[in-house]
Amino acid sequence: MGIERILAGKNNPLGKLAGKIINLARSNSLTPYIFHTGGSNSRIISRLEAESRLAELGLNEPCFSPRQADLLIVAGPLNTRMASALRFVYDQMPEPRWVMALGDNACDGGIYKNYAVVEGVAQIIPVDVEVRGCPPSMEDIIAGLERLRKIIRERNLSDDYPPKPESADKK
Amino acid sequence: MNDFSATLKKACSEAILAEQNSPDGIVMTIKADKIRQVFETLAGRGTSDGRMLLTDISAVNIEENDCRFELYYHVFLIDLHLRLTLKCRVEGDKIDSIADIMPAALMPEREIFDMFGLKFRGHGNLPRLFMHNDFEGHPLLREYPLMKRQILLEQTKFE
Repeated sequence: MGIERILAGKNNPLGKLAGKIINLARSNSLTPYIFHTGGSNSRIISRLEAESRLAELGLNEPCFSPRQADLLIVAGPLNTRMASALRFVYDQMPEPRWVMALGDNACDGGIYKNYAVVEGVAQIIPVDVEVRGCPPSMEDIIAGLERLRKIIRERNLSDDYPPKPESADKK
Repeated sequence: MNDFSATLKKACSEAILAEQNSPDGIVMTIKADKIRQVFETLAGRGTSDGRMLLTDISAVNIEENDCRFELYYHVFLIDLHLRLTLKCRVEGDKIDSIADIMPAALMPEREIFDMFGLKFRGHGNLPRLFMHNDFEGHPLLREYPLMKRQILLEQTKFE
């Protein structure tokens, strides 16, 4: 991680090129962690894994711990009581991390809008990509994945690693 | 079937206000303060072996004529193969618990307390069942705001 901070430094001529290469690598090797909440949307992911070759789109096999993941897929309606668990899972993920809200239920509560459901996981954690549909079709999910990869490729390395503020002792 | 309802009526004549036959079984309207008497009679019926299931207890928040709640006790009598629904209207927010006669009522009574705030006298353990402990109000009451959300952001500590 140290080399990225050096490359992202102010006057580094290699910064832009290195950022492009790093972002390209990141967008092609996303490791998802799927946050199942019990909705039908969470089953879609398993079908997607079986029916289409997601490795070609840069999605690795889902991992079983949020500590090794860099993409959090929230699938299904989120209870008000589960909100703390989602926050806990998100806090364990290493930077940089991205979040995809899958399905209407995760985006704004969907058909389950009532006193017990959080209307949109964006109230709990920052969401990068929302995939609509109840349940979303395979094409929607793949389009959402493409959109996420585009977001990753267009990032600036210096945004991720801002130069350290000069400490107050020197002044 | 008729024998059974006649026996029950004779045993607790004050408690039963009305009786109605439906395709599924019998619906009886009973007084809320006599609910324990009815269940004690049901549990120790003289005519049969007294085996029965308390399938569920459901409630509705009605606000008419000083009655706040209407409770439905869904009972299945195994030997007679008869479904019996006991209907009672509750004034105020307290009713006697039947959990010591029918242990199957423990969870439904807790659920009704959680959703409606109806307190069961004599129920030993009556904390919230579904909603978290910081939740204010009871969500299925008519006075609960439709769009009010109470999101739990701190980790729950399970004891």
